[in-house]
Amino acid sequence: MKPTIRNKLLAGFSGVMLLMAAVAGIGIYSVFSLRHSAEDATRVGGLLNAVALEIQVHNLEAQRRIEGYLTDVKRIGAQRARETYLDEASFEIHEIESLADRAVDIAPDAAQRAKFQKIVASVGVYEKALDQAVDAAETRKPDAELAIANAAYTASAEQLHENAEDGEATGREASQTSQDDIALTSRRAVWLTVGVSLLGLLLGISMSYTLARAILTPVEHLKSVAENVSLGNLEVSVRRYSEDEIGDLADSFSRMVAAVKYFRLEMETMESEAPKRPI
Amino acid sequence: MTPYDSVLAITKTYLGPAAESFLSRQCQVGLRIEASNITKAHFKDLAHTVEVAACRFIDRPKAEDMAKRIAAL
Repeated sequence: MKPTIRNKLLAGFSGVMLLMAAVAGIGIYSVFSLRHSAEDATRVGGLLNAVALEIQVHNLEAQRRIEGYLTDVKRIGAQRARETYLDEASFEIHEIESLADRAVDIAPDAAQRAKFQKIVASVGVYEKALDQAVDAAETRKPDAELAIANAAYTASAEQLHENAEDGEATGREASQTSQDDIALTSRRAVWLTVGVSLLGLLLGISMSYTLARAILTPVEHLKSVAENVSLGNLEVSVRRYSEDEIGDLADSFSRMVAAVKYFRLEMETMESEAPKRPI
Repeated sequence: MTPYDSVLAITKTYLGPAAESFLSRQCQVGLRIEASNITKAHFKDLAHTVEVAACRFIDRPKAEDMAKRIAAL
């Protein structure tokens, strides 16, 4: 491709446009990446936190109902006590188990998964202890056995409560971590966009400067030559700076100056050779 | 295209409107012939004459270039 001014300008503007497109592309990518990352982190962190809270709520409700059952079973009878307290408590325990399983599935790292696996395990222990306590209460076992069964139930309830609290703390941490992740991604996106924009700006400025120099330097030289010639100084050198239209113009100007020099010399020669006429 | 036209075409790219007069004078002074009568045999001598004379009006590199192109015809 011939390096004409038109082609140079086209290449320069195309370069700047490509640069702008690249900067815009990277900016858009950063924004979408940030959005995706934020959505992902918020979804996992928020969900884990919500599940952990729900586990604790079901746990408290289950234990409240079982305490009611153990208190009232002798007074209202096994059948009614089961209907009033135990059925609902069983539902709550089942909910705790399924929520803990779900939390294990969505927890993003092994440490968090382990916390919720402990809840799942302690729910199993809790159910067994509850069955024994219910059995002891309903079959009217001796006080010693009843006390042992109740103590085992209390211990398992405390363990479940403790594990549920750990799960709740893990949920809060996951939520906080997700916010930290969003902040980190956001900062990264800002720096990336600022960096790329500055780089684009520098490249744009250097490209514009180079383009301006490529056009202005030969034009300024021609202007200087034209000024000299117009003031009668023909001993100027016309330089061809570039292979474009301005280079062609420089050649034309050079021819013109050479012709003027030649004709002036020819005229001077003719004048000197002509016989002097009296005025 | 006559030999004269070929030489004139080259000279015009360096001297523009003065080319015809310049070439005519160089042929008369340097080769002692009319410009329209030049033949291929004159090109080498003409190139030398043109180079020396053109240096007064154009840069030496351009004059040398012009002479080379004429000699190469």
